[in-house]
Amino acid sequence: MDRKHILLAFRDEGEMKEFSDHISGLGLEVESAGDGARALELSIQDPPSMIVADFDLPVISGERLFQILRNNPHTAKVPFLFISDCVADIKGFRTGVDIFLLKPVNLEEVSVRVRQSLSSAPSGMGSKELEGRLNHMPLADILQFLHLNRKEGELRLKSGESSGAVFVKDGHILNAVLDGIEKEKALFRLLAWTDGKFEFIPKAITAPRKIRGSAGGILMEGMRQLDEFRKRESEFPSRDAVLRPRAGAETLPRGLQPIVYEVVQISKALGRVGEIVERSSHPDYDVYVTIQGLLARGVLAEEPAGTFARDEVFLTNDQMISIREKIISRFSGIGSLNYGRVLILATSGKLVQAFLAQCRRIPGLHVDARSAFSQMDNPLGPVATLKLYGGLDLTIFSIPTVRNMGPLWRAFSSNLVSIVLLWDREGAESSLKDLASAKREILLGRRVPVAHVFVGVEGEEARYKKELDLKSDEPLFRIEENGKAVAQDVFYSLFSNLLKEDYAAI
Amino acid sequence: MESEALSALAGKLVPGRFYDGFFVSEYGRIEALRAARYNSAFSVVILTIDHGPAIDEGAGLEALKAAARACVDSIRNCDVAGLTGDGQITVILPETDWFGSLAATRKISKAVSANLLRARGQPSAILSNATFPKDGRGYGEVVSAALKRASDRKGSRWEKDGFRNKLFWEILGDLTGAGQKGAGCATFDAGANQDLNEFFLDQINDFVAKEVLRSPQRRGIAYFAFRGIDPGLPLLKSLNSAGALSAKVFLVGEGGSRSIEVKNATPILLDDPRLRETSFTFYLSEESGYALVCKENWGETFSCFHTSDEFLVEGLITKFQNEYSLQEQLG
Repeated sequence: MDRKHILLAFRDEGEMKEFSDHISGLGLEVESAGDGARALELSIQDPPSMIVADFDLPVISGERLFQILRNNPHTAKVPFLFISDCVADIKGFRTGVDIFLLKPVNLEEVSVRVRQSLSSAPSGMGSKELEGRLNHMPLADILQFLHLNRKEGELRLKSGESSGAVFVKDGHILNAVLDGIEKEKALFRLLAWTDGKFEFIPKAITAPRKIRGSAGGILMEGMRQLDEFRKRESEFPSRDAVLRPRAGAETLPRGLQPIVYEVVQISKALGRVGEIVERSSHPDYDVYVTIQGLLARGVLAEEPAGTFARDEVFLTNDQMISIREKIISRFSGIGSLNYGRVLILATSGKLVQAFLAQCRRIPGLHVDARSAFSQMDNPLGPVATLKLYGGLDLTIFSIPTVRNMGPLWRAFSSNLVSIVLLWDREGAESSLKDLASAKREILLGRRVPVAHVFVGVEGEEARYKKELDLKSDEPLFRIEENGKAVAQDVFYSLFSNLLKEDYAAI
Repeated sequence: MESEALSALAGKLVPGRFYDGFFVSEYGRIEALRAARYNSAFSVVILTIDHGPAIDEGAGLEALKAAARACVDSIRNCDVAGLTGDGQITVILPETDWFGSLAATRKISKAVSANLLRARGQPSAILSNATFPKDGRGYGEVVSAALKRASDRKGSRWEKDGFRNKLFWEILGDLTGAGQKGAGCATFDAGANQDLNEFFLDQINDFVAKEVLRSPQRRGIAYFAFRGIDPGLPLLKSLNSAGALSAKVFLVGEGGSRSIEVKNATPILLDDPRLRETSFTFYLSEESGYALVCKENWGETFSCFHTSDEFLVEGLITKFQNEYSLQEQLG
């Protein structure tokens, strides 16, 4: 293993001693230099793992030292931590690699930054300490190995289009994430992967612990659920089966497992088993078992095959009431609330038309052909209406995203319920920034569920996700030429997100 | 300044009618409970003396005294005012909704500005308001919302560009003159050979009218000013077809325009030739504000400015009402 040592360069001896004592306390070797020239000499002789330097050094300033070392191929990759009295613009400063802290400095922060920097440095404390394929070493074995060796870091996994991560500290599993889901649900899904790549990156983990219980216990439970699911799969209702709650969650007796209330609540808004499993925060097997139990007790009823065609019923009365109640609860002036607004932000009018053409198939949703199919590049105004139970309409309102129409974003977003962003490759190349800033600006006023619709071929959308700041709870749908209609799924996802508790009254 | 010193100071500013921070916050908490119990509203106005000398210096104290006196003189007997921080005065307005608090803010602002003008160093005051339950579900939340609005107001174009001291038409000229693109304020060109035709402007006006009509119980104020009030305008058709409205809608046209009856709107005929080349729309509701100003150039092209900065919209409405001696009403 590489020897890790830190070079400290400070003008003030007292400061030097303070930092030196603290950093050596972290188990790192420390070298000291009282001026920039000495720091340069030491760095060239034996390149350090990191340099912590006062910005205002005698002989050669901190900034000059940084630039000389950056130009030397042996020291170019050494990360710098500058400590300064005032803000400075440093030429060549690498965000994410170099660190700039203003005095007074908290020593604890310095130690965290040093640890993070060393753990993420390419030549530092073993990046990718462990890597391989899951078909050679299953995830359960990797996690057991990390547990036994009390490792700390991030285990990244990738299989096809999906990627996930498991965070480990002292061998304990802190959390797992997979495509917007987390905790045990994500971990158990990852355990089912039989093929894919993995890599373990040792680094300081500061994420909160979301998975309770010992690593051994949680892995045993995950594997048990996996085996049980395979054994009993044929007993469970199919993912496409449609369920109807016979009673609301509020009529259930108290003291049942939280998953029971959650499943009944979700089934009020989303009928399909697959959707309930996806929306629930509990592991998949637990959800299936709960659904089966609720079916057996008559709390849920399975609709006979073929009775539920989306083309005939989009939302049942119960679903509409749940959505309506949720919308009303978000606004303080209930008396004046007679509509909710879904904003459509698109990079071109053509996309709005493509999306609305699909919306036309949704029962109860009336597209305003005159405004929606106008010749404008970017239509402005209400383009469709969805009638909800109890006199509350959802107005679907298109708004231009070009920058000089910015004031319309806030002005026409009263009673906002959700946002749909439509974009294609052409639009993304030319006006993705406008779309992203429209989204950001509107969400600043009120936090609402967001759904993205990309019009184009599979795979192209991935590179625009970052620029659009796609959050884990913002689903992305794709409209392909002659492909499946997604408009219904878009609205289902918006409504189910709206029903989640974290979109409570603002 | 220590809270004890502030309490002592509060008692001396306007003896008998001006309270200390503890009393005001306790009163506010009780008022929030009362409003929640009886399903009513109350509002808070916060006045911050800005750029003035520190209040323990002679001039600062003088400014604070002048502001406190003006505040107390311009509020109702049932309202409660007090010193809640260094240079910060809070007024609690029981049974007052958003537009009521906006009107109170205007009144206090006028009185305070007049009094502060006489104070040494000419400090200025920033006023902001918030209403229960619209802006928060407790006294603390309402006060935080008011403080946030105060900082938003400081960052608004109305304060930054010093429009307070300019004339209405001068401000419109400034707004349409400078090119800008942004989420809050932007300019664009419309008309012949432009990306947007002039019908787009009619369409925006129509949408503003529809925003008013969409929630007929909601209070608000809208001014639509055109060269001539043409009954064929989409916005007039929308207004004519609606039921009774709580919002106040005014149609502004030149004095020569033939008299016209529009349901749900009050025509204001002004003898001002500047209306021939500039049209404007101001809309202010509890939730949002929007202003559109269009200046006609040669060849039927328009230089337009629009904004969703509610402080700018409110300022423009106030200036317009003051300079044309219209009723000072808001919603």
